[in-house]
Amino acid sequence: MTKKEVIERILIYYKNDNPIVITSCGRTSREAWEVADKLSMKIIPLTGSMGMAMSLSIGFAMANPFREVIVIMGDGEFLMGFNAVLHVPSEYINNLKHFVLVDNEYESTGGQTNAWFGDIGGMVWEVYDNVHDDLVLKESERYNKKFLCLIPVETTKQKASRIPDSELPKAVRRIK
Amino acid sequence: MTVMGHMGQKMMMTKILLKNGFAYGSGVPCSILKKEIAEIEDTQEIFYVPAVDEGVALGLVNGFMLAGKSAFLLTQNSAVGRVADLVMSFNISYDMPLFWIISMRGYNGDTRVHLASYGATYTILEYLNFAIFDFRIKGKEFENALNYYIKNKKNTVFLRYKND
Repeated sequence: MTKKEVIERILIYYKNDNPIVITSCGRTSREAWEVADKLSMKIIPLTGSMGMAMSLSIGFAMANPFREVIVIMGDGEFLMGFNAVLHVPSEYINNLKHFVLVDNEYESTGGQTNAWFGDIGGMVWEVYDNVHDDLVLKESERYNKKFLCLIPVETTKQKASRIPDSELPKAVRRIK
Repeated sequence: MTVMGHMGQKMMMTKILLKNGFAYGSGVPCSILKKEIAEIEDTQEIFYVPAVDEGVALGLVNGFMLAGKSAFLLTQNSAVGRVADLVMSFNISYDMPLFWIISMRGYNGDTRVHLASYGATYTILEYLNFAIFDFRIKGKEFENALNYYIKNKKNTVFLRYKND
């Protein structure tokens, strides 16, 4: 799936919950802005502050526990702000869902490879094969307090050659 | 635990923060501010998160503010260079002014490793157009800095020195 398709799927799925949606800088915010506009949804797109989406959303969720917070970020953003993950177990977070779009590159700057390390720990995430049938999104409801999902998306090279989704890496996982 | 004013008076930093509605904050540890941090952490009315690093602390504070809360950031001056880009690309670009309490290392016989950071702190803060309340030079007090921030909605920093 493309980034835009995944973002659209997520926004449509959660639209009726009226969540606060924060998107990370780069291609993610640009694609999300277009999708949100089409769906008449309001989002908070970060256009810079690379690496701050995770901590920003955690702060927001802590200070506003009665509002669902959805964060959509690229894997480059996730890596740069990874330290903030250590705050996720906080007892004060009850309303936070992160979706990380994994393409192992910085698309908005031309597709340079990022430091994505594939299997993150292998200890707190479980594997999902795809999000085509909203399986992961449905799973997120079971983990309504906090949830992190890694979703493989089309890379720049794949976009050029249109490699089938079945050949994308399996890397869709969640934080319990 | 108190903050000592330039004229010797005692000020309770947490009281001033609470009096002005600042019930959220985040930061990283510092020996100069250890008494204030201890007091803030002990104050149940303040939701203070000891962050894993300065960038995360700033992100948390920005998240608090995005949720409509008055919040403060608390770091050493070594954080200034480290988070300058985040301040530029978020707090300045999104017009979300920051209230920042900074302890000044590298001053008055501090260890050598802090000297460069001390020298660059003012330059970077001025470049970022922060309103600087320097306890040592201007004799401004903490409450003045906070009141200025509230009134002017501008990036404001309160510089705290060792033995102030």
